[in-house]
Amino acid sequence: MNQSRTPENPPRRRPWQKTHFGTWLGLGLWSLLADTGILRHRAVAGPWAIARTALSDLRAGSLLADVAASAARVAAGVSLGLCAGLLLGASVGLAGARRQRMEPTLDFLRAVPPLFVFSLLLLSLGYGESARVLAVAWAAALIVALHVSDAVASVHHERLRTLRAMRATPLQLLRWLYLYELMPACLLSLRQAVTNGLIVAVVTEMLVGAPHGLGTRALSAQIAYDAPRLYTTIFLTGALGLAGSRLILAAQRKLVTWHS
Amino acid sequence: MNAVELHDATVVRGEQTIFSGLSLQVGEHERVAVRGPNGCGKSTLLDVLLGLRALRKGTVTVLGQRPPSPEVGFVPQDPGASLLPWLSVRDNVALPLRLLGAPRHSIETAVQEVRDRLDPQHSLPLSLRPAQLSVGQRQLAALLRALIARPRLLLCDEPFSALDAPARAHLRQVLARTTGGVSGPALIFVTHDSDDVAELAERSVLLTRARDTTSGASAASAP
Repeated sequence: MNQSRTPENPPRRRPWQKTHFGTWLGLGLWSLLADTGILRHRAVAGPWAIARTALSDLRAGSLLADVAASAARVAAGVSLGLCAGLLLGASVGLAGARRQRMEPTLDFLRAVPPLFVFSLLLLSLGYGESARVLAVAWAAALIVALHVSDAVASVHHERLRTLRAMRATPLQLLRWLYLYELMPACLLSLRQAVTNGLIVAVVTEMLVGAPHGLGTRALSAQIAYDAPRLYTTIFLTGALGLAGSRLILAAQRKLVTWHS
Repeated sequence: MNAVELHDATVVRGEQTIFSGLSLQVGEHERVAVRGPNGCGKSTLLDVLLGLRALRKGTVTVLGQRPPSPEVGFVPQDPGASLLPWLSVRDNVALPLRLLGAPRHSIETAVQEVRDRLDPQHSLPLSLRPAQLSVGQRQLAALLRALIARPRLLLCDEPFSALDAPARAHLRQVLARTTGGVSGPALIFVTHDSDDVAELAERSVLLTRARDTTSGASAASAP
């Protein structure tokens, strides 16, 4: 049966047509320039060479080991940072008038690069995983603390007044009010913390040799002039950050149903 | 026993005196309107009666004890802001009993009972979230929440200020039906509207800002 092509009834597209036309065009052009040798440079690798390298590393198991190592460091560091940031942010947010005096300290700490803190952690904890994870936690904690302190300080006055009028205990205020009021800020800061945590984890892997990790992989590819492997690492790092961000967005849609 | 006894009360916030020398008695089933210009301390007076703000000077007794009293219900000025947006209307209405740790089955019974009493037509959809309600429905939900634990004193902070005329008239009727009389809870409500006073209050209290001071001190009179 023939169907008329109206705005309500658009023509069906084949799967390959669904992807943006520009992406395919870009990939084709990139392949033409790199794989045919028109563009010849040690920093250039074609898409097929990158795909071949990724596939062979995947079969060898090194690819998954590196992704898993970096992801584990980010997960551990961000979890620690979330706990510390929640405590710090809640303390600053509940400090009332003293909050204004505490905020410059937070801004000062945020201005200190996590890599400086990493150096200090290496000196105090040695060349193990702890320093790397704590550097990620440091970066995450300050982001979370800033968002949470703002959210605590701006908890709706009338809601707080009403619950206090119902003689809610501090624990009940936490359970019925603060938990929900802070959730959007927590999830938003978590998205930023994951991205920043990934950057800190990768850079610390590059700085001081880690057995596995995306940073280690990028560094060895750079030393070996292995452009396809370097591109693979760049794409994987981006994909890992994107996956983390999407996961938190999905959680946000599920948990924060009342927030416009 | 009076619902409220306030003697020579003074409240100070920072450097500013919110009111001073305020005395007020409200009977057990009396309905009293509190009027006065903005900033004279009407909401602060309710906070004192709720036990949320301490007196600098004077004494206060609510239902025979120092506030906070467990037998006081409260309807804030902005129901949209005071209802918890993450809970359904039913859960918002039931919240005072949940905070008291009442068993689940008695909470459900109490919700039905207060709904039948205040909203016999069941015009308030309990399964929706507050954001899905009209302003009048939100204020009705706030009133159900305030009355679910059967308080002996109901405090309302400008309960009609955000409502249009029909919703205002409806809520006035509900309050008139459920408060005062022989056995209903005493009612103290803040209002700027003389119609509210005429239709609902048995007595009104006027808070005025003293002209001869810069500190915002107030006095009360009971016409």
